[in-house]
Amino acid sequence: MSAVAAKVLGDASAFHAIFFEEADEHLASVESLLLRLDPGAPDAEAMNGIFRAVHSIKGSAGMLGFAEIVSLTHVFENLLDLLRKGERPLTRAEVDAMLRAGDVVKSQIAHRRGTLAQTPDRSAAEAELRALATAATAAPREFQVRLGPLAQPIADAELETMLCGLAEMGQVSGQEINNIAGGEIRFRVTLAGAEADLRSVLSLVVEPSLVHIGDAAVAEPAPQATPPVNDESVDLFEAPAAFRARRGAERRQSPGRREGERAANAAPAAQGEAGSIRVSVEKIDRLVNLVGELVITEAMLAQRLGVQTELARHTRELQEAVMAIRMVPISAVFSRFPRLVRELSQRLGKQAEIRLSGESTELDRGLIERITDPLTHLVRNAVDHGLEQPEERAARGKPRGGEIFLTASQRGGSIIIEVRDDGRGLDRQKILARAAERRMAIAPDAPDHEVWQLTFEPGFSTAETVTDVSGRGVGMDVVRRNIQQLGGTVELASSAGAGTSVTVRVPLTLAIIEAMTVGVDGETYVLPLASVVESRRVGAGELHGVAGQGATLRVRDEYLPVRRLAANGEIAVIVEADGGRAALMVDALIGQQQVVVKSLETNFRRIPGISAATIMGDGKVALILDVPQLVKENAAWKPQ
Amino acid sequence: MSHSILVVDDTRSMRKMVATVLQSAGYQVEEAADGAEALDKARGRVFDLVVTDHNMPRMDGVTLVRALRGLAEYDDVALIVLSTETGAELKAKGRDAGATGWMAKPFDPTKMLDIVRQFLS
Amino acid sequence: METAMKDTVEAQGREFLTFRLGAEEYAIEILKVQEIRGWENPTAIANTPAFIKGVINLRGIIVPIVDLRLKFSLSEARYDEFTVVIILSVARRVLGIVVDAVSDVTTLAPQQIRPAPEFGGALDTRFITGLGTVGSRMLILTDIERLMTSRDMQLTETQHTEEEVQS
Repeated sequence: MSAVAAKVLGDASAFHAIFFEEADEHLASVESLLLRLDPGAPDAEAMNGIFRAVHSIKGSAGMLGFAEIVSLTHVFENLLDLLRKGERPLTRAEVDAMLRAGDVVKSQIAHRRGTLAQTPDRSAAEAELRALATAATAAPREFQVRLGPLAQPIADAELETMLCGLAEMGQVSGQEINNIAGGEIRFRVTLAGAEADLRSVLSLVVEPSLVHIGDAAVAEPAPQATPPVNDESVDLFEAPAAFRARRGAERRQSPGRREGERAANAAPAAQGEAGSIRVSVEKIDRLVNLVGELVITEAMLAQRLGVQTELARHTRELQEAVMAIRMVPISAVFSRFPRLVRELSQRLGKQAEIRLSGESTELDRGLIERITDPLTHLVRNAVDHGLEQPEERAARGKPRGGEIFLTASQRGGSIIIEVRDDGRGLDRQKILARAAERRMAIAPDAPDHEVWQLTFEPGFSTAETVTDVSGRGVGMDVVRRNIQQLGGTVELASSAGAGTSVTVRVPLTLAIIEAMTVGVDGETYVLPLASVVESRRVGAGELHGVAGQGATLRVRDEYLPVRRLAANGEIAVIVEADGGRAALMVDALIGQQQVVVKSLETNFRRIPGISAATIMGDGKVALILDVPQLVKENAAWKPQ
Repeated sequence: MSHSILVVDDTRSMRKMVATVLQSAGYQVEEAADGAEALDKARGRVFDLVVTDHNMPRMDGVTLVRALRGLAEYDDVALIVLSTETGAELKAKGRDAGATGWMAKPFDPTKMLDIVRQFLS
Repeated sequence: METAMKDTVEAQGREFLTFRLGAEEYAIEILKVQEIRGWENPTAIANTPAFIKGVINLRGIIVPIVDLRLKFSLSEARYDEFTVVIILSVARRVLGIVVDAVSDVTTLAPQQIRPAPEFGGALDTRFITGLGTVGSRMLILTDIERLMTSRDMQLTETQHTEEEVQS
């Protein structure tokens, strides 16, 4: 930053963090607004919003001395100004150029933040924006520039950047560079543009008061006792002396009247619109942890007292309130998809639009991060494999443009997200053929939903061509695993020729779940209550051995695979996951309670069969079983 | 007793920087994120000086200045607009609305403190 | 300036926690040691090697416990009131190791440290950074972070069996 600003502001790094956060938000807003612009009828409100966002970034970047960001946003802002005033028409070309410029600014921010090693190249974006802005405007003018007297020399690199920047904008000549304390830098520059623009660029290297634009013949300002009041960076409409004099007179005249006015004008304090405050994620997480510990302590207490207390209800309410703080609208994830679909469809030569709904549905912040990758994969799949090329669609009597519907809703304790396309749908015959190839046992008349489940197996893809977009369909098994790790489920539905829909269900919150505790060989294990269907005592004769496949248990009309957790367990807990069921044999049912889910991977690693851990009322660690995996190990079919 | 200054800017980092500069000189600073919030605060108490950005949502700087000039107790409070926009037309609008002065962004902290001091004695 | 300071500290000596495993004494950087605890029964985890005893609750954090005596087959592993568990903070994880006994905290000056021999010992030489002498004691200076994060400790995530293809 400038030496003077640094003196007063001191360490600027605190401001950096705020700036980066803000810039992220502004850029997200810019992109979202740009995507929604209809070139035929641009929304004025949106144009102003984009302008303000870019303008803000420029202002703050200027204060912090991020010259390269100022340079790009300045050109960006110029174009926006012309567009919003209607002095230039808005076409797709402008929107695309601005989207690209926004990406470069994003990279510049990342570079400044330290997350991107190489310096982003802004020249292409700047040139593009400039070209669009100055297509047929004013003739170039010549400006005489004098910078100085300099308090101290300008850093060589900065000076060079400035001169190069000017050379790009126009022509620089007649340089007389005396880059020393007390010296001056003079040159002439010819360019098409406003003086204000030139001034902004020059203000990047010297204090605004030292920038003199006009005739080279301007005399050096005589040293003054009081600082010059009307230089180019400050414009006073009323001189301070006159102002003070007037003020004194008014005050002497009518103190009473002013008091009265003040009382009369004292409007009731604004109720304030729904105010919000920023809180760091660490503080929220700490709060969640503490409430989690409270839940455990309350359970311990209840255990010891042997009775439920009011405390339980209060704890539960507190917990719900705290979890609500962690809730974030799913728009945080959805917002990236319009851009993704737009670029993807362009790249693949398809026409596709995405329709979002339920963006305000909230889910836990931890979930947001982990649901992004799987959803991205599903959307990519829909564009890549689901939708047909426009010609094929037309041939089938469908509209040339395909549609993808992304909806989110909340039902009970779960969030339901659906990705649906109106494309070609899943090809049952092809899938069955592939299954046969891979020696997967499945009845030829198996119901559709079972056939679709096959596509979740690793390496399973019937895509004819492998595009670099979503890979060889390997993704679906990873998608399902990721969702399962969140305690959720994925289901497929499809209609040949009409489209495919993928429904993802995830629990509302990650951190605290209702659980059933069971005893196995003297140890306590935990099962998510949501996965438990029922439980009952089982006599030895009830377990039927099926040759080569272990025991099964008859439950009403089904024969469920049995998984012996306890070697001699006599109690069966029927669990369900992904449309499959199994019977887990345990020694005892201990109880039911809420538990705080703690990851094993923080200090350890993922263990097969275990999804996480928790701390029980007695302070001991208990492992939470991975029900989907337990069910799957006993799935009805096995590779032969 | 120290003077109170209202700083208005929708850009948080900018607001913080201006506030820090003013606070470093011993002024008491309150912040507002746009013209409407600023007007609310200005009605609640009379500040000794106001520094405001122009480009803001809900109510821009020039409109805020005009509104403040409609309040008698702000008759002799200096209202300075701090903006990256320095076009003559806009400045004239500001002046007509009753602004006391117009400062360009990026701003020179020393100069700002100087101007503020001159209008606060 | 930072390197100059570091040199000064090094010239004065580094602090190590020393502990006994079997017949030998090992030394690890004190900065990696979070605390020292007695033995408490961990929750065992099925399908993990015998030297991983399980996990414990350390003030709300789930910490895995590794018995180095079993891992290196150095001595009889007893679990009683004298058993010592050193809680380490390495590679952004918290882990516990069970050893025979903790000796003391020692400062070793550079001249007390000799390079590690090419052979011998229970530990692979890539984890040994040198040999320290204090009086008649010989201390095996160990890079405990490298050791605990190595593949055969099986404490860190192994490769996914299903490769994730980049989309």
